[in-house]
Amino acid sequence: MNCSGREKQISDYINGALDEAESRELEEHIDSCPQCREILEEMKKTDRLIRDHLEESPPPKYWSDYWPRLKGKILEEEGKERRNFLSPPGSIFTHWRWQTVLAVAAVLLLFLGGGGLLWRMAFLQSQLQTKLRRTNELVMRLKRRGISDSGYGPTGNFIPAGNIRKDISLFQGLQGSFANNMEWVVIDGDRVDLSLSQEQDTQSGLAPAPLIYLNIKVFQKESGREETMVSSPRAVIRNGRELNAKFETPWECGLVYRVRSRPRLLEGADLISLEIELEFSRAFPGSIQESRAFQLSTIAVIKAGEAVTLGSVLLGDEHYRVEIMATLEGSLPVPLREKEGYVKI
Amino acid sequence: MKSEEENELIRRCREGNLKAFGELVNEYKSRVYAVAFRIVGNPADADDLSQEAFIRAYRSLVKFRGESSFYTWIYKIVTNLCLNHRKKNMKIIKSSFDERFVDPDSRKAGSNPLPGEGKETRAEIFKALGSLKDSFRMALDLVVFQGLSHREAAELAGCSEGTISWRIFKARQQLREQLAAYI
Repeated sequence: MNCSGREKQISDYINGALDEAESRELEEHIDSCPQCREILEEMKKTDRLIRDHLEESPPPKYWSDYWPRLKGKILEEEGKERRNFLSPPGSIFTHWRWQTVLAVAAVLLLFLGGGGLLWRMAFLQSQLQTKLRRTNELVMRLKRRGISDSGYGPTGNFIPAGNIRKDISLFQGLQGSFANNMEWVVIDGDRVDLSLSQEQDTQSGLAPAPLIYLNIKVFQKESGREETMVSSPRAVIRNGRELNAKFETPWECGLVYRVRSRPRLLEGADLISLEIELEFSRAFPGSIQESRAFQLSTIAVIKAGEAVTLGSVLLGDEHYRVEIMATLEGSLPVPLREKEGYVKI
Repeated sequence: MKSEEENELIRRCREGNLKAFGELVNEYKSRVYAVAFRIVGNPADADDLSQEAFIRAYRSLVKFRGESSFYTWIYKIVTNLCLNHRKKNMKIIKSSFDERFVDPDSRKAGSNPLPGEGKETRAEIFKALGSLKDSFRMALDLVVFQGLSHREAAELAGCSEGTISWRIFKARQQLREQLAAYI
């Protein structure tokens, strides 16, 4: 290795990240190379300069007060939160308040309990009716788009458990495929509140979309060994939605990747198709730019939590190999697709 | 602190034992404060933000799943708080920093202090650190100032060891250029 590649090695050396043989080899080189010796000294001086000027050591009094002050703040916050509801616990006053609240609650339950329950059921029913009406509207919209009505249609029944019966089929018009047993009909761009659903009760009302992480790994081949320099610039992809991402390597040569991808879930578990366009441009010293584009089209079987290599390309001078991998988070597609909340019709 | 001991303290904290949380705070307060100080550059904000980080940690201890150490967790909280604070107050920080770190006497005399001396150097160092990408600065902070290994830093930053090594190298390169007059 000549001196041009040593600088990073020297940085690793200071960090104590080289093994014994590498350290020894570098030390021998530094002994005989004034240029590298200077680089080492400059790096050490820079570290020292920053450390000396940015190390702040407050006086001991500050540290002895630190926890009492913090504790005071925590207790104050907790107190505020409690006061918003009831007064702080532990006092006779609080005890009395709780007793009062419980007594009032008991009386209310006794006299109004039956009525309250009826009211609650009526409320739930009106919500369900609203949902049902919205379902019908959505189905009418589907019909207006010319999608055949065979295979779908809400029954209009609702059951005491609080769910609309799950016999609505959902079409994915572009592929002509459909899934049964959806909780709700969702048209692209529409958001539907699923909060009443027993199976998909999430805080936001919308369960999370299935995520695919597209990882770009770049290997630098140097001295016969491959080194992973950049890994996992993650991009979240939604089914069928085009991803345009730009990843920049932190290397001196400034490789920039633009990735366009259109992932699509296929019928059958754990299968996706991906069309990937990879474009990279590379800046050389003196503002010379080189650009090339690659295309990959692939179908991959991906299991949750596993990374699958979709393809790789060698860049012009073969110093770099770019590997595209996809990782799936959660399981695909049926259970998550039901929760997706975004379905293209 | 041993991890079993730490886990026990966290368990007691979750039960509402504030004293146990105090033990955790006393264990990590100086490191958390130092991280905040290196990002925001002044003691008052470092104090506020480090305390805020502990308060948030206490409030959300139920969410702490114990997959990482308590320090890893609080480090992320304080770093995010400080970076947000810095973004929000960039202009204010810059002007107050100039005020605080430029020696008033030297301004009165109308002369430039020699590089390497006092508050001006500190201001320049802070400026140089502030110009680093957040990820570069974080890698530098973890390894060079906190003495973590590449592996530990990679775990904390959620990237590979190679990336940590590269970020530190680039950070050092940039700092050497910007601070050349002071080295």
